[in-house]
Amino acid sequence: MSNDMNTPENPGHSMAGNLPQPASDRAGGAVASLDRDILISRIIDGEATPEDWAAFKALAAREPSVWRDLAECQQDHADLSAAVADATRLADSIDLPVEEARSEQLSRRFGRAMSWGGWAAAAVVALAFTTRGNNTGLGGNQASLVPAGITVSTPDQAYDAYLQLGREQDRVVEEVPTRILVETRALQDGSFEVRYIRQILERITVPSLYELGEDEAGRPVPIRVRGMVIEPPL
Amino acid sequence: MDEFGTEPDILGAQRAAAAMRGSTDALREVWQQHRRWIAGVLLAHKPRDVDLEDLLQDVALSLVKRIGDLRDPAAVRPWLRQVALNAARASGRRQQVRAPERLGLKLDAGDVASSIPGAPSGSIVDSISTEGREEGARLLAMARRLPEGYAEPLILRSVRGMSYREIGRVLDMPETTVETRIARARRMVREMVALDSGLKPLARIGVENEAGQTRAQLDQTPTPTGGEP
Repeated sequence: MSNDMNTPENPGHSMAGNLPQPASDRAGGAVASLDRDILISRIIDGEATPEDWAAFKALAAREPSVWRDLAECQQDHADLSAAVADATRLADSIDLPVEEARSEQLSRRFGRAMSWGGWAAAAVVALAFTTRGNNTGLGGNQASLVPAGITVSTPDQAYDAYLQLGREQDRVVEEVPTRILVETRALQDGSFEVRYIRQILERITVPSLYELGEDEAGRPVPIRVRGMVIEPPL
Repeated sequence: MDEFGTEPDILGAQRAAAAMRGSTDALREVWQQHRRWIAGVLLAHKPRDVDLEDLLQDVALSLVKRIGDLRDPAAVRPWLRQVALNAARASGRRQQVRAPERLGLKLDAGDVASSIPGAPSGSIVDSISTEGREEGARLLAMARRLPEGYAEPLILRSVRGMSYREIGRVLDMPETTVETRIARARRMVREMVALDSGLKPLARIGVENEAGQTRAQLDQTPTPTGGEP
């Protein structure tokens, strides 16, 4: 590839008399050919100014064949655009895999928390958030969690009330629709007991962050996380 | 919604910023706004045997997972283009590992047919019925063979009429450069078509191909400036 392909071809734009000028040492005829090509391109692309049209007509008066070039280029552009439209139309059918990606990330984080030392370790990490954080939304009395006008008499109502209040206070981002199946058990009456995990994507701001590590003796100790991002933001 | 960002940049940047903060709706809007031209970028850079749909899904997944990596919301277009380029290159590396014997420089119109939804794998003659579509597929195959830096602007220009300015935003280059490259690319495609058809090439433009040959070298027969094909 020649150097000039990597440098901006950046001369004037709107005036036909100031068309982009390639390097003057190119092979003979190249400059005029490029001017002609740019004029045709501008016309095809609807970018031609009245000055461009005047220049084109003057050129056509000298070289009538330029009209044929214009027609052929216009046909090529139409055919190419149709082919590109055909090929790229499928992009409209590709939806963003938001839920899949978030479920995957949450599952990975959940698995990591468990790998740090099981459920107890995960609970310790959570405790480090809630006891040191500010405005976490937890720790208040039950009445403060229930938005006005909502009656809470079932776990589902309480859950919904939590989501609603969490969204209002910018704590809850969203509920992840995917539920993680833990186990199922057949009951004597023919029904099944299903144990599962609901996931809620939340955000809080904390003054400091700890993860569980080990000291020299292999005992679990909290380690302060400094200046690093554990996971990229969702 | 403005598909290609002719709206003021500030709105697109605000949408990207909301997506970075975790707004699912904003993230979806970012994708819907940009996915068509992303497909165009992939079309210009993808290896011949890689499905465009697979690459689009890769880019969509990367957008969800890595929107937080975006430093400047106003630069969402160049960032998305880079994500698309990375996806295309990664697929090329995977392809090299899997089947190096399938890599080749020759590209025929059948390559394009494989990227058109609903088109069966096979020759372009079998899969595209109308003359216009056949010619379009042939031109697209030619466009994809253009030297680095020329195929992408030309293909983006064909994505539902993206303007020079919009293409410049995506490629992060001046409009005048975009314009010149598109004009040259069109000339080169017409030359390739002429060569492919056994006709005399058009006027030379003095641009090198991948092998370092100029068009003048390729065409040993002197041709008057502006001559007929």
